Amino acid sequence: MKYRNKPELIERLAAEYVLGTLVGGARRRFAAWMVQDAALRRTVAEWETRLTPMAAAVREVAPPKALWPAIAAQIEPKAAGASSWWNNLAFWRSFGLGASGVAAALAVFIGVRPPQIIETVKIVEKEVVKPVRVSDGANPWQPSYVATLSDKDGKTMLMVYIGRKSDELWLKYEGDAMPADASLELWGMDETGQPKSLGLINAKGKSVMKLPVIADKSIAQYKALAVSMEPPGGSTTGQPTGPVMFKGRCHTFW
Amino acid sequence: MATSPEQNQRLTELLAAAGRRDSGSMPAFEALYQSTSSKLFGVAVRILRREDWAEEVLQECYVSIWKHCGDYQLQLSAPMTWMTSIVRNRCLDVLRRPNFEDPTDDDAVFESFETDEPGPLAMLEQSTEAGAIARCLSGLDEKQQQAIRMAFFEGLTHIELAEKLNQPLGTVKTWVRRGLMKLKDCLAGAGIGLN
Repeated sequence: MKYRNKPELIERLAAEYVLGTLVGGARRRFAAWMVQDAALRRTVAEWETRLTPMAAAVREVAPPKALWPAIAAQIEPKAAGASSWWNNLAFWRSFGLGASGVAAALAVFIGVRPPQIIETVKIVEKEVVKPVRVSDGANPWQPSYVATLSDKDGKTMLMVYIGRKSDELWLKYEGDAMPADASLELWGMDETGQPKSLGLINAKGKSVMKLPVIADKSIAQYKALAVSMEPPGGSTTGQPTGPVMFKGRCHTFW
Repeated sequence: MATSPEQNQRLTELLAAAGRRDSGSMPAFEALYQSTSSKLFGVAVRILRREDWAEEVLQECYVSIWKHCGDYQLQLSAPMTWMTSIVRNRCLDVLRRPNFEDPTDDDAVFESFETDEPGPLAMLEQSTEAGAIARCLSGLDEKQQQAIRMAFFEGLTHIELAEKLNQPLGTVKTWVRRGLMKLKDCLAGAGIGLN
């Protein structure tokens, strides 16, 4: 950054950033620079401390009564105690440390115990008229993306696998039966951690779930999968509204 | 922002409680909202001059404050300063989005806003904590003071200031720059801005 060794210029830019007269590309570059420079953030905070008291001169205006409920509705799902571990870094960190172990276990699962996989394939094939729908020569049923979703005690609750070119997700549910007034929704999480619904899962044994597009164009972008408890029919907000029941990293095997 | 040490302490505690993400978090965040939303809404309405946009901004900002209140301890400024800066920055983004329609001409909100209330400087002086900035502002040249106040309260850019004040762009830039540096020196004398 060309400004780095010019303290007077930095001071001026910080002052004008806070005042608001730093605009356009210069403002965006400055904000981006702030993200990675603690000294710059300190200089900006000093200017905020200098100038923001001017806002005391602004007359208070009560916002409309409906605003708080709207804000609460937007944040409350994440405030519920049961779902807080969705965003719990410690949980993810511990999972990250264990991930190689999980991968090894899956490799064993896939490599050493093929009969189980074959058995699953057979079950799926019985239900599917054309098991091979898209192929570039590779067997689309070969599990290429695999995730084991665990509850917060680390107990495996759901196995998920899918072939690269397949649009059918195989699920093996090992959790308890769900009450009639609740459903389980599967979410894919990309690098930003934003959940995207993949649909409702069958909370019983083995099942198949249809994706809108093949795994290489859908599951490939997700670093992790998670399942939340939702009202019957699933979340209506596009985001999880109930507690996260289990989650796990999505591993690529190809 | 003009808040007493007691208020600062309370707001800091509410932010910390909200950041813990336990059963006490939502009540704490609601209390924080109740204590701060009228001031922050006032700031947003003042800059945007449209209540509907100000509502939108306020909602986004409280959601953002909720998301980041867990890291608030890492922030370098008082809670009200931190929150006001979030709101001001968001308002500036909105003011400067490409399809922004300037509400100046048909704006009853703005008109009613400036009547029957003491002027900004008089209100500043009512608050002891904001007294220093008010004194330092009034110590500036009138032109410098006017340019800084218009930029702060109305979110005007250098170009807009030059148009409104009917001055060359370079002149206005100089007023702002010199005014800010004088403010800094004056406030340093009052012990403000040195963390």
